[in-house]
Amino acid sequence: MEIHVSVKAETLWSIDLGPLGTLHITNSFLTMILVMVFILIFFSLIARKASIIPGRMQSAFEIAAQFVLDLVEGTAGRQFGRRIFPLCGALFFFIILSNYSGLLPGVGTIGKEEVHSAAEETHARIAAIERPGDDSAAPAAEEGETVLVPFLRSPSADLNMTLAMALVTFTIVQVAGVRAHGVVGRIKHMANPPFLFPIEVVSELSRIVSLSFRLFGNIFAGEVLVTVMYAMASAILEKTKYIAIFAFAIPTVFLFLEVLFGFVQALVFALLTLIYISLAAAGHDDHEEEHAHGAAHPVPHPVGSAAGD
Amino acid sequence: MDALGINFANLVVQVVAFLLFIFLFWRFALGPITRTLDARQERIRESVQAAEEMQKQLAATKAQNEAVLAEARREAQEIIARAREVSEQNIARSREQAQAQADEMLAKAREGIAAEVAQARAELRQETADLAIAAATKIIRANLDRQAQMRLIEETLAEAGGRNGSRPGGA
Repeated sequence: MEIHVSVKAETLWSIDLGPLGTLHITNSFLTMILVMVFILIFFSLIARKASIIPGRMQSAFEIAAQFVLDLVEGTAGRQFGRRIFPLCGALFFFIILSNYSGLLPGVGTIGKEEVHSAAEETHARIAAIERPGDDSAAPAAEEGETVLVPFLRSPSADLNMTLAMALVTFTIVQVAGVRAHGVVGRIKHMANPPFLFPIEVVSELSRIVSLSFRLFGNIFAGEVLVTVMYAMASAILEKTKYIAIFAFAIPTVFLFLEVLFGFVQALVFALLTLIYISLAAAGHDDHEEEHAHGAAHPVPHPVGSAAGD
Repeated sequence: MDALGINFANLVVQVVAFLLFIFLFWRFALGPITRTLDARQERIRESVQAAEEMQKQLAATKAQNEAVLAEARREAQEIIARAREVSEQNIARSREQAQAQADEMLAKAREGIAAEVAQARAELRQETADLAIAAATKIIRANLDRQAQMRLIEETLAEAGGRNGSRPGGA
């Protein structure tokens, strides 16, 4: 049995956008739309019926929202925290549910069979557990193999999506910095001392890479791990029919781990966004002062929230 | 880039989609819930404040009540004391009046008794005199027979003769 893992999201169909290029409706793009629609409908319905005395669903939503809000207000201060809360909250909710969408049964496993020629292969074959007497996999890879293209794939396991979020974050960080200090102030702020300016620029740009690759790497690796565990479990089940309990126990342990990692990665992305924006808007002096006093410091010119509220 | 799955058109669409998602999520879900949280927090704060205020008022009312009660108690004590004083005065006065009345009655009684004693004495004397006279009359009437009368006359004459002899000029 060969495990097929593709680093990039597989295209289901394409739309020509003219000068912008071709929009590939990939499986993770489709899942992104589904997750967004689900979040918007589900949470809007909860919020629409929200009352002072909450129901169960409202309580659950409120606990999560309060958790992020406390984090944001605790780090950025009450006033400024409120302005960046829409971004951080949306990031947290979208990323955590994107991560969890990859754990649902059917995501990554239901799809269409496609024949890929060896020359077109961009996916990495990271592991192969061969069935006894099944030697057909190796020659097939050279001639062109039949692979499963899943209809759904976690949006976080697609670098395009994580990069899009990192770019949004990066842009808002820069806007916050410029709003707080002005263009000249922002450059001065970065060039202090002047020879550090190139390093600061690289550091700022590297955040795009670090944010996007961290999330993508963790979630993608997690999915690969779970896939491998499923494959291993099915191999165990085939070979030793008497200890079938292992076949279910092994992937379950890793699924629980993925639940944890999914939460941690969502938190890390939202938290880093929050910290980058706070740093850019508050400036070094303010930030040091803030730490010295151990309290949130008011930010001179807070940035407008990304939601345009 | 293509090997990693980065596609410019997709990236643009995903950025726009994500920005739209942030806006819609805040507008319809996160925003209202945050406002609900704030409203609840505000309400709790107000309730706690109101409760504290009420407790303060309660304490103030209690203190006021106690002051009023103490005042009332003091006034009651005063009234009781005054009443006692007045009643004692009344008792004393009525006792005096009773005493005076009693004395007066006693004096009148004594006077009456004395008058009656005097009258009784006078009447007794009168009666005694009358009785004596009656007795004397009866005795005299009983004893004065012929012989006795004669003897009495003789005695009387004898006495008178004796008296005349000793006392010249007398009858």
